[in-house]
Amino acid sequence: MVDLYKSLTIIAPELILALVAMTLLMIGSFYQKKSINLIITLSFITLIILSINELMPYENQTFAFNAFFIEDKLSSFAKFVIFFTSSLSIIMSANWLRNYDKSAFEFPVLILFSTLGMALMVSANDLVSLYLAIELQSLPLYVLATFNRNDSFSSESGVKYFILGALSSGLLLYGSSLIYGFTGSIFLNEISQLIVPSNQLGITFGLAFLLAGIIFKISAVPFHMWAPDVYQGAATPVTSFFASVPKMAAMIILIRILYVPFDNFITSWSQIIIFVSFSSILLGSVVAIWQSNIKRLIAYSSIAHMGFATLALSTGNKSDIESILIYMIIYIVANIGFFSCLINIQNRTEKNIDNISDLAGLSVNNPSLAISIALYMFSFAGIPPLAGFFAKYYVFMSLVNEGLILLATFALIASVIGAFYYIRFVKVMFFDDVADAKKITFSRSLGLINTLCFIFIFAFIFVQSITPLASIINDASQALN
Amino acid sequence: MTNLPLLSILTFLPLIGLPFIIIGKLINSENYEIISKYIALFVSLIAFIISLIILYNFDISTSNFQFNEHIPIMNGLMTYRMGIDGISILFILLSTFLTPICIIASWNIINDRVDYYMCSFLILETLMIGTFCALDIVLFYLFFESVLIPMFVIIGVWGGERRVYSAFKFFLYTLLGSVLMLVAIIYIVLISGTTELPVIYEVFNIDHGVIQNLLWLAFFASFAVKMPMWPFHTWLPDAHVEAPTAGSVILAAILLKMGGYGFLRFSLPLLPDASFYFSDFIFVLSVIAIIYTSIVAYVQEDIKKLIAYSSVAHMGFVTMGIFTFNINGVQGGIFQMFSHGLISGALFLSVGVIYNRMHTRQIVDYGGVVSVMPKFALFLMVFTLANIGLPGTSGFVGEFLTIMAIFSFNKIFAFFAASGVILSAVYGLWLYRKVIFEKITNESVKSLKDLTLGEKATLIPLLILIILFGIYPAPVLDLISASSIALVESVNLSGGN
Repeated sequence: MVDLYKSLTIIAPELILALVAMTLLMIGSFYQKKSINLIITLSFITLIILSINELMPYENQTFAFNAFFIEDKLSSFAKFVIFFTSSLSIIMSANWLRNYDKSAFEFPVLILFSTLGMALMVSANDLVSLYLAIELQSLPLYVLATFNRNDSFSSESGVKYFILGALSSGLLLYGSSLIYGFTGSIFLNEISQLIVPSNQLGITFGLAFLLAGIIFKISAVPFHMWAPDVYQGAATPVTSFFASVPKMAAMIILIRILYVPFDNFITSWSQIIIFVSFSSILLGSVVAIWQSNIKRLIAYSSIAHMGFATLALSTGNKSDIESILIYMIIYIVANIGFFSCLINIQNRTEKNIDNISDLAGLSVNNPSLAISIALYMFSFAGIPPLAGFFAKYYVFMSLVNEGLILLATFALIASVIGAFYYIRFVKVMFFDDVADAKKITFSRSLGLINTLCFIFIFAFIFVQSITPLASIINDASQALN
Repeated sequence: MTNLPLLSILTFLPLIGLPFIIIGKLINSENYEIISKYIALFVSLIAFIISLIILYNFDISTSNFQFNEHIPIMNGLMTYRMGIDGISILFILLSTFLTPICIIASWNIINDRVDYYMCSFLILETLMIGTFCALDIVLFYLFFESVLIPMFVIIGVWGGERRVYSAFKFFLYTLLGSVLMLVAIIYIVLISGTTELPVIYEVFNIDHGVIQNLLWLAFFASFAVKMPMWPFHTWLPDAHVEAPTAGSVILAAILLKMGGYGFLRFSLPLLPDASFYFSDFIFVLSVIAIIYTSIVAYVQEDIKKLIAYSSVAHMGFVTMGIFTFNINGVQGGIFQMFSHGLISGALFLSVGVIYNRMHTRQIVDYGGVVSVMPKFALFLMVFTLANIGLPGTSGFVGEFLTIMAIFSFNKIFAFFAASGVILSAVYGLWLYRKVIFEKITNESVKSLKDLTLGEKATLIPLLILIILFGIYPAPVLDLISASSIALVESVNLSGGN
């Protein structure tokens, strides 16, 4: 009984989130359109409170429900990011939802459920709870992808995502069963001790399948094919959610899988990770050159960014987790900032903003929007003194430290290719002329989010020096030692 | 006075103009253009005055870094360390001196998005000064690389017809060079365990071998593109031709010097053995640059392109001078950079003067300008002769010192370098004859008006300095001598020849 009580307190945030999500679902289905503001506000407040709660100091490492779940600094940091970013996603979609049909209330509820799945995912400590959590976060995402029901692209993207996602879940399960079969344990922290040298081949096999399932979730090469279609088809607020939060969750679980149970397998998996990261960078950078659709381009850009983040994993050194976390934070903030601008433009203009060329002339009438987007693009390209540069700097510091200088050099050269399409945004907004650009004002919430992201990206040197962010990330990265 | 963090004040002062320009536009949206021009001019003049104050308090007798500021930031990732020696203060003065001139030169020319333009120039000034002040290797990289953003915007927004192509080429070319340098910087930081340059000078010491050569090549990739050295110069003619006049001035006068400054600050002191090892390589590239680009300049039909190629040729003298590891050569190289900053700036401003009247840069469209613009013809003559390196102008001093140093180093290279002086006379005088003399063939030349007051205000200070430092170069040489002697000694000591 004491154990149960203790376990319940450990996963109390998730329980609260589940309860709130179900309550809001009931409210929504009874009051429908009338309740939309209430649902948005409540889900936002819940997520913000939960995210602040995650910053509270915890014990170093606690297990819940017979070690099904683990709560450590890494998972609480990840949950802080996940809850916080999800709350921003809900706020960013508020205006769009108010003009949506009567089923709009489903959107925040689905996001809450998906967030719940991600929160469980980052603190999963065995293969079964991992699988269940991944499914819980994926199913709402499939629905979200089709949220624009009248749009055939949206339906297509949802179906594609569902089929490929189901396939990846299958791979993940197959890998899990192989690992269970060869080690006899499903607990991540036990597997490493149960590995017998004679079973190495089978376990490597299982690990490869397990990795395939997770790499699908972070949309890195060679399991990236869904990303461009899904990003393009989904409504923009949904895309902004896709591009940020699930990546964080999947990256954390990737770190956990690689460093907890397969710590001794570095030689087997570092090859895989090097291939995945470098080919993601190359593909994301090169293929994006021919894209004209903004969201498709962002999809390829996110593939490349996931490549950079996983690059720091390929060193096989636990101290490099810090680089990955910093990279992810900066990537997410720049993404949120960019999408806050894009959603704002889409809300305030009648014509569709699908292609980059639709942004032409933005700098004339909407300088603040244009400068913000340009800043995020330069940051994505990794130009100093913006945050994106420091993200890359940390990663390459890790690489050079481990002697992977050649890999670092090639990855940096590929990032120059990537810079080409980022500065194309700047070209379209600043260099091209357009006859009729309408003045667009910032809505209050999006403006605030954009300002915060802008400050974070522009003044990252000060953010890093003054705020406790660095020490929080450092604590989180020490959790697996 | 000296307790103030003068370098930080100087570096970030131009940024203070930005909020005023934005406020000015919000308050008075009718006349915001003229307001932002005055704010930018005022701020850049104050920056110039502060740089003079720094010069006044500067101690030329020591090669140590002065005006040091040191704040650890970013949790040990880097430090905010600023400081200057005789080499950097020269380029800081050049930057603060040319920025107001550029702003005056753009006064009546830029009519589109003036507030953006002025903001870009002020940001650019901050970044340029910061590059020369930074004594932290990462901080240096931050400033060095950030320069791309305002320059990209300046070329792309206010440039000529092919501005987009040129801006992209400029951006990607220089970015590719600098990412290689980034790897080298990270490596050096990890080896020496600190990012502060003065400390790295002391602790960073690796034996000559493949690693030092690779590090040297990585730095070379960045600085050679920036310089630019043949064959990495192809972005320069495009960028120069398409950039607005003031953009070309800054590009030629200061951004190119960052490459030479980088060689002096990083390649030579940090990697002396590799610098010796590659000096022949540098010499060959420089000789090719001097001869080849001078010949290429001769066949150009576009005035700005001709001056751009001549810049590449002159930068060849700089790299040769630096890599003689000889006090004359290093001083000559630095002096040549300084004087080329003045001369190329003046030449681009002069081209801007006639371009604004005729809206063509083709040489064939001119001819006979002397009969309608005699004052302009006089100015351009002095600048052209200075570019050739006529004694009595500042162009002579740098070339003379470098050729002298090269002569003691290797006579064959000296022969080729000296022939470059003749070639520069060939294309320089040819250009002058085609544009200024000959019969008027183009009717619109007849209606040209001579220099306005604003144009004189930009050209006269440059003219005075070019002649002054040509006749009496001692102030500049005194300023740089302590630092360059220390540099040459340390290189020769550890390079071990």
